Amino acid sequence: MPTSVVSGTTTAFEMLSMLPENQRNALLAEHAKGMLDISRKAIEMNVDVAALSAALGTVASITVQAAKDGNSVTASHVQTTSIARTEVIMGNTDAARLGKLTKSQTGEFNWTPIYIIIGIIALVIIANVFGK
Amino acid sequence: MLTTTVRLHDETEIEVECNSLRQKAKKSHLSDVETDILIDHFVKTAMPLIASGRLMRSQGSNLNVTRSLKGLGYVMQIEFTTRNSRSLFARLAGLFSNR
Repeated sequence: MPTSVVSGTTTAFEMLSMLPENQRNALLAEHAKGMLDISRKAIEMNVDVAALSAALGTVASITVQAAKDGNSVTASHVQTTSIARTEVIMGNTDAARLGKLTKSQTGEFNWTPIYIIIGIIALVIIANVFGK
Repeated sequence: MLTTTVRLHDETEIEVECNSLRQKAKKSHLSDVETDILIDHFVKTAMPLIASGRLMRSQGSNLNVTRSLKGLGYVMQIEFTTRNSRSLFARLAGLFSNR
């Protein structure tokens, strides 16, 4: 049974060697579990980064080609991974230059049309009430 | 002179749009040769957009493209949007125009 772990601090070595064997076992098991968790998280992050990189590569190449063909192009990509939420907008238009994604581009529901429709319905009802 | 706007998305059937354009060209009194040139110009522009749009949509990206095509007897505005980036108003308009 090891009496020390590689931790970078002498305090940890000293503490571990002073502990009884059962406590040392528990600590080592916890340490190993932590290391496995970190490793799993690193693998997940790598997969997410690779997927994001591939997606952005496709967006970039299509945007460049479409612009070269003489189009006005705006391309956007939104992705939420284990690391972060990434919002990207590319192109040769003013919208792309401003760098602000619309709600439909971000995937959020745009309530503005609903508010406008409710407002129109309310106006019609009010006009009917006062018209009588 | 044919002046028209063609709205496309990644599920557009190019043949349907071509037939629609042919009818519009006929109404605008374009000759057969001019119509063929117009259709050829349209297909060469629209096909890569639809292919790119499909690829973009499959990975959850959005693509919006506008292009103005001018030729003998026609001015055409092409507006391409991937289906997932269409606003509620655009979707409602699409329902009425059967797109």
